[in-house]
Amino acid sequence: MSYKMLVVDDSLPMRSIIIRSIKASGFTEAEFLEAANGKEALEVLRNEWLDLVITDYNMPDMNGMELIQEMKKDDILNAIPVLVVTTEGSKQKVDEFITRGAAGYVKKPFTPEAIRSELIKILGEVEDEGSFEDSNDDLDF
Amino acid sequence: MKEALKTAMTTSISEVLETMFFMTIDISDDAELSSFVTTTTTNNLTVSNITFSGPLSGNFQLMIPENILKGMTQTFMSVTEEDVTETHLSGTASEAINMVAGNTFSILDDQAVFDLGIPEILETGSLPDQETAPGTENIFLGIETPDGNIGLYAVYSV
Repeated sequence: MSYKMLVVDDSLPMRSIIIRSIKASGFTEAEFLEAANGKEALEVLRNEWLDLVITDYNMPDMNGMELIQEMKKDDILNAIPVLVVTTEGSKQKVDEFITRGAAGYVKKPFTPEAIRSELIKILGEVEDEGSFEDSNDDLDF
Repeated sequence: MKEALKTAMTTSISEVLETMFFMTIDISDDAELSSFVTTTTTNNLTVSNITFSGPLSGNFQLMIPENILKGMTQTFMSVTEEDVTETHLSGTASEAINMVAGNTFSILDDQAVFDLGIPEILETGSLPDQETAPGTENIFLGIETPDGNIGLYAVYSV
C-alpha cells in the first residue's frame, strides 16, 4: 500500500531528513507533501487526503500542539493520525501530545529505527520490508 | 546547577552531532570562549541562537566555521557541495541549535518544562559578549572535529 504523508516542520533540512528516514524505513513508495507550520499544514489538509501527518512542535505562526487541536476539532481531519517529531522532551509535554490526540512521538535527535518503530505502530505495516536494511546502509544523514 | 547543565550540554551536543551528522568529536572540558574567538576566523563563522525560559532562562549559541557547516549540511540534506545553498546552511545551523537545546533540557530534567524560542542566525561574524551581566552564568564548550572546532555557549540565570 502506498501512503501519502504530510511533513510539517519550519526547518527545510529537517523535513528533508525526516522524508529520507521514512523512505529508509521501508516506506519507499510513500508520497510526501510538506508544510512549514501548522497553518500551512491545515491548508494542505483541506485540499488533500493524507494517511499520516508528521509534525514538529516548536514552529512559528501555529505550533504542532495547536495543529493537533485544530485537526481534532474537524470531523474529517480528526481521523488522520499525527506523529510528533520534536526536540521537546519533558514528560509533561509528551503526555500532553498524547492526551491531545497524537498517535506517537519521536524525540530529536532520532535514528531511522526510532522513526520506523513509530510508523509501524501507527500504520501497522511496512511497504517494502526488504528495503529497510538496504536503505539504512545508504542513509548518510 | 552549573556542572549539571554543563554535563547535559556535553551529552546533548555529542548525541546530536553523532546521531544526526555522523561526526566524530572530542569535547574539551577546559576550553574558553576567549581562546576560541582568538583562534577562529570569525568572518566565516555562523552563529545560531535560541532562547529558553523555565526553571532557567537564557540562550544557547552554536558557533560553526563555514567549512564544517558545509560538511554538516551536505550530510544532513544529502546534497553535493555545489548544491548547498545559504538557505540550507542557515537551516542546518538553526536545526542543530534547536536539537542541542531541547536535548539538553531533556537530559537535565525531563520533569521540568522549558520553553524554547524559534532558532535564529545572528549577523555574520558576531560572537557572544564575553562579559556576562550580573546575576547570569555562562558555560562554554569547545567541540573538536577533524575539520576544526565548534563552540557551544550558554548564558543563563536561575
